[in-house]
Amino acid sequence: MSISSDIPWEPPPTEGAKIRQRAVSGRWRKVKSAVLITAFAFIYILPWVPWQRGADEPTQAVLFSFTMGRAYVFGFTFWPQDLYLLVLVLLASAFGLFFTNTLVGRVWCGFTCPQTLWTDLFQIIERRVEGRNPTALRSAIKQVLWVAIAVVTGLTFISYVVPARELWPGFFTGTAPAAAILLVAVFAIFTYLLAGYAREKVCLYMCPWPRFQAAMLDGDTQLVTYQAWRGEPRGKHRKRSAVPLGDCVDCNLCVAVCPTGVDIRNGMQLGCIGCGLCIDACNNVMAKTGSPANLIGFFSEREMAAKGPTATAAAPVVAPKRRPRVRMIGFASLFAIALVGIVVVLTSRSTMQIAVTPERQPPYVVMSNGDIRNVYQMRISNLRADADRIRLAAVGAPDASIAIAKAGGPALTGDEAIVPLPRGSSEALRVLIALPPEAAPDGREAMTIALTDADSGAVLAETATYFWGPDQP
Amino acid sequence: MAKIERDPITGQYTTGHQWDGIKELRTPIPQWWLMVFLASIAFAFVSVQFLPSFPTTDGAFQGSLGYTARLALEEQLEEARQAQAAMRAQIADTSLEDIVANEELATFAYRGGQSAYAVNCIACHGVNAGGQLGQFPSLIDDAWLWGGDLQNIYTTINHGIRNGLPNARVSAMPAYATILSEQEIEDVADYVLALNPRSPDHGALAELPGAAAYEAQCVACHGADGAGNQLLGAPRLNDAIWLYGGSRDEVIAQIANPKLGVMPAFGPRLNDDAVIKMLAVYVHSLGGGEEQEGS
Repeated sequence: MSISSDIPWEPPPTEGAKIRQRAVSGRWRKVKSAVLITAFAFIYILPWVPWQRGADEPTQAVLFSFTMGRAYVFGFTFWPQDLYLLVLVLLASAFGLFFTNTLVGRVWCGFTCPQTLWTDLFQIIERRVEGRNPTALRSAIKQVLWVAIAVVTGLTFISYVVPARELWPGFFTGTAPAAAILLVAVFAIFTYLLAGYAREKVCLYMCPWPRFQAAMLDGDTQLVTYQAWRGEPRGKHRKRSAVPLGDCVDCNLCVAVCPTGVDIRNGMQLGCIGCGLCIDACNNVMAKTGSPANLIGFFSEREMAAKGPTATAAAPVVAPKRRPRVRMIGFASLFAIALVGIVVVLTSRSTMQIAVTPERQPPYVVMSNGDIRNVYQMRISNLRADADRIRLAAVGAPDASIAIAKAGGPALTGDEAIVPLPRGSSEALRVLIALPPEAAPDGREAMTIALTDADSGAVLAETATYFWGPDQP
Repeated sequence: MAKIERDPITGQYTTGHQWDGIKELRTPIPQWWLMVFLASIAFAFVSVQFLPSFPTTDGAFQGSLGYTARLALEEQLEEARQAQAAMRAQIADTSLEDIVANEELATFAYRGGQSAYAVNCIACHGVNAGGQLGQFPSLIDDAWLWGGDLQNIYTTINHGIRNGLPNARVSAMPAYATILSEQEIEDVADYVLALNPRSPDHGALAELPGAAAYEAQCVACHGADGAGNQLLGAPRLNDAIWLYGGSRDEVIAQIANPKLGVMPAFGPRLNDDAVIKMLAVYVHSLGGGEEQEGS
């Protein structure tokens, strides 16, 4: 029977009751703390990192501005039309997650998931401030700290959308936009509720990931496992026991330190987020009882099967070598492809964008001197080109005269028709292109319109459209 | 008889019903969900009182708040009018030259003119102001019957053309079918077609048989070289633009029995000088606008 097909699911013994995690020290706790500090430093400080850009652009290094319709990530500026990049980012995230899950199980859940991080932080505060004997004062201090962290978290998250240097003062003076204040409140309230109260219930009842992540496991995945062959039969008072007992002294510390309150000795289960805290707790006990470490540890199903009931602590069966696995290689390749895709897209994005709609009614107009003129609606955007002045040109049509209609005035031609278009700006233009009658096509003909840098003459973008002339009889 | 018992495996109660020995666990919907459901029902009864809700034999129940989507739209329109009022007043008080000199006013006037154009002008002059050959002049070329500077466009829109109103632009070309012979009309048509410097006959213009008749009948309005006269709405004849068609037959027809275009006066029709000004700015901006004379 495959490990992934049938996972026993029992409500944790503490269901309904609030889990008060015991403190534990050890290797995995250190890793968890390191991840916690790194992640929080990253999340809370990033909105305050400055970055120099153009004159009208924000000075915040990372900002997803809805009001400006732009996303700024350090040196990169993303426009709404770059949204497809998000698909690649999501693909990379998904396959990265699947890959780690195949390799080492739920490390995302146990170490890096925001729900785990903030729950951990709130639990630490609860333990340190309230302790085992909560008084009204201690509980009040805990609540104040929780609310403070929740508000700062809400502000920090919205700081990625509204510039931090405007949001924070605006929030505390009440001058920030109502929508921003509301969103800060929503994030703060949900941080408080999810990390302070919902906690493991999010993993057990709300999150879909635990329900299907097991599909990515296989026999070589390293999972938090209780080595039942070593531990059983468990029992206290080993010296007075009539039957020989296993290494497990049934101290229940592994349950007491578990953030989701599961008993790992019942085997792999949906409630286990793979954080390894029970390994730390058990190893501390094993050290005291003089038994070998890692009664609970990261083991694969094949290792467990090889050791099995026949092995003993004195003569453990050598663990089978890990095999390269199709699923793991597949997820790793897809992850790598998505990453390469992101890099390729980031380095090959066009710097200037042009969209042209020819006016069809009428397709052309005859001018006094017989010239044939077409009218085009254009939208030109300087996404990220280092050019301030843009000139329009009709490629391969030296006779074409190009004019830009101006609101309330005669159309601009020649050097007057150079469009000031600093980086990050966008203009809608009404463009008039005329050809002398002898150069005008018979019916419709393809025409390429180019955006050139008025100063250097370099072509920045091109687009294909049509020029219509009269149908000659 | 329903016997409620506890299921030993799950520890939950059963509904007490049995079908062929199959018992059903009692798993009620959550209490909070039920409460929300009941509250929704209560809310429905309340909202029925306030909002238009159910049909009656003679219409529909209006609700005590008197809300209708039509009134709400009317309010939104009124809000929009209030928001625009200052700009519109400013445009009404500003001369056309000063409007286009001010970028903010010019942009507002262009956008407003665009909307007003779509409502009032599209029927004849077309979606993109291309006009219609043989009937309505194009507004995007560089030929203007009555003048293409801002002031002239404004006057034309305001008072219209040949509509019988006192300030309307008026001129009348005689029907030469009753004045000239058919041969003379054909000769004049040939002469008119040769007025264009691009025409192959242009070099021998003076020798053409229609020269004398053109000199006698047409020069007064259309000018000796066919440059036309915008004060009289007399079109230029030496260019490539022919409102009523540029073939020989069409020119002959226009000389014999001219079509004379009519345009309504939008001043009295719209009764809002700001809109007329915005229309003038928009039409002037389409690509054919002429510079103000003397500026």
